Amino acid sequence: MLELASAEAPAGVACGLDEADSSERKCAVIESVVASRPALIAIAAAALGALAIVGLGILIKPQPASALPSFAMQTGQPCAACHTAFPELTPFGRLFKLSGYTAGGGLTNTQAPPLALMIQGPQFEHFQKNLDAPPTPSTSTNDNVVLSQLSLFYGGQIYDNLGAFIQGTYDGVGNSWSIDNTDIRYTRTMKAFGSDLIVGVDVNNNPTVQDVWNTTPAWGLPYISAATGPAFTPPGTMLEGGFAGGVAGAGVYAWWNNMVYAELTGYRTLSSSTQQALGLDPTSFPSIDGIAPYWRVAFAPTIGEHSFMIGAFGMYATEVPYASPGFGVDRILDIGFDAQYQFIHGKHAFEAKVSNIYETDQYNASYALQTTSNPTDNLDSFRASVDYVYDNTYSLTASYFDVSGSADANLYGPNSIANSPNGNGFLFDVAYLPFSHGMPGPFPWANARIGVSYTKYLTLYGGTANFDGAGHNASDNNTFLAYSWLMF
Amino acid sequence: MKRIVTKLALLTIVSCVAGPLLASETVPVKNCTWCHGPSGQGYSNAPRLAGQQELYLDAQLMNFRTHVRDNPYSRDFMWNAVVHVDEDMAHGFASYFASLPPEAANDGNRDLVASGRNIFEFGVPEANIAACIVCHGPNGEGVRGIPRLGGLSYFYLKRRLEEWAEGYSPAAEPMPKVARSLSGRDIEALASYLSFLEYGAER
Repeated sequence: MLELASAEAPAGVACGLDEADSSERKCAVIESVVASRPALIAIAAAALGALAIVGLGILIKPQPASALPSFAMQTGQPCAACHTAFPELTPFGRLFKLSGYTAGGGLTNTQAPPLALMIQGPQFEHFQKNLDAPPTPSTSTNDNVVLSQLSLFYGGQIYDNLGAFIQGTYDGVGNSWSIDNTDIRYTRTMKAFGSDLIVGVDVNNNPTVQDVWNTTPAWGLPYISAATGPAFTPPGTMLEGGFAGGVAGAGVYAWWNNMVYAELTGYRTLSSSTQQALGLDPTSFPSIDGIAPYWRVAFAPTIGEHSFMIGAFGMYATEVPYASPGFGVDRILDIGFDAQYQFIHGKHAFEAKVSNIYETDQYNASYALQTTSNPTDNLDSFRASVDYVYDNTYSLTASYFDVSGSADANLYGPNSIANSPNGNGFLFDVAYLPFSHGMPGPFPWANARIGVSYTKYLTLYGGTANFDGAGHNASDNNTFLAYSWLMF
Repeated sequence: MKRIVTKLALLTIVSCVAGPLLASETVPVKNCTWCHGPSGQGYSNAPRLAGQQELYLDAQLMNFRTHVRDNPYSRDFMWNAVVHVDEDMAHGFASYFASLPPEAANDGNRDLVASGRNIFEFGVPEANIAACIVCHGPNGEGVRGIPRLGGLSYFYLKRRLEEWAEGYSPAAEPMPKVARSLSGRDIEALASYLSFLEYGAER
């Protein structure tokens, strides 16, 4: 199974929804190479052993793509031109994407095909309390060292104003390739009301993967997650990976006066056979009835070294629960608001971000199917974060997340004695990106992010202690992750 | 899978055919407008190129190539950007952007405009700084290899003067000496005044 955006959703959503349907939405695709190593050895292995894993692609838990070396080859610029610390974008990174991945200045795509390789792993994963059972036969209940994923990219200009970011991911478990984050653009520039206007047509497979701010789910925190757990994470809204990969969207966008962004995209669910052909598990996606509109507006002035953004986004989908036609449709509305401030001065980059997605669920079908106990629910997902990056090399991130919503016995009861989805916590990340200004040697475009993150859960499913009635505490799920993330 | 591949192939073919029909670039200005804005009016810390003096642009591109211009942003961005820019391409870029109509950034401190105008027109005699107007022209329009200053962004003008004062790009005489003689307040005033200076506008 391939859950494309699971790792792109906020920390608590990393492994999917509630326990009831978590067997596949959660951390199902897990294998490890080495299990139960002492922490220090594991961290050292994570930092130093990365190059040895190319042929060992075992675990696939897709993560967001990042600073593509193929973009660096095409533009002639180091990763630092577009990323403070990948995958965080600078103003120029946002413009590069809005311009359709087509800007050049380096090698042409005939001199260097815009292909790139990403390896995430090995990574060491420690939970405060051991899992109840090993996630897979070859992993332990704690302190696993796992290989994350291997991805190939086409990233850059196709021809003239047409460019693409296409990710293919190798699933060692299923021994197959599948399509991952995809974003194909055609852009034009013109004048409107006396100012520059970039207009684009965009085709993608994951709502918000086309967005250029790191406040929306596809490119938001956490950038990298544990693959073997934790056992419990808060539920997520529809936009936080609910459709990632299983849909096809086509839309138009406009970027006016380097300040105002507007986009309208419609999404359809891929047919089950197409999803299977693309390596996806149809049972992991609700089916959109017709076309689901997604919209995005943002006011984003940049003044010298200061960039601001305040925006709104949302999606409305009528969903047919999987394999359950004849019961009507659920109507899901997500409305998000986000804001970002970025200050880049010399070697210093500071960023503050906040986002909130409010979801309204009309469970016409699910209520009839008794998947939910209420005909209507709501769910609210909030995240705020700050980060500081020095010289595009040393990155510090702190984030707070909070999920709250309606109590629903059928939906959350298996995880919650209060039938509650409520959860909150913190995420901290420290990373070292040694090659943001270019890697010494014959391949200067490569980059790496080596770091540690710690996710602390204050509450989960409405409680701090014994929230599920089975003796699990929120803090049991606190996660320490040491990771390496390599781009070639 | 076959149908998907076929659809993707069709999309690619159609897009590739449509691309050349709509292509109009004779020099790859997209490589510049990516950061400097679609019509070269500047964006973030990338300065406005539109309406800049052609010879100045040409010379600066070569200065980036030879690393004569060595301030941090030049080193971080432009040194990489010009690696594949030969003389002909540099002429093409310079000619293209010089032909675009400039727009004033209007982003300085209006309270400092009068002070900035005074420095621009009369210099700072007590510091032995000549009037900027002598070289850069009455509207800050520049001439030949001397750059247009009128309408450039406050941030860019201020930073360039500060960088000269800090010792970057020492070959750009007399600017390092001028910048070292200006106070922080003088620099802010000059940058403010020039950011509001429209090309050809009545002063």
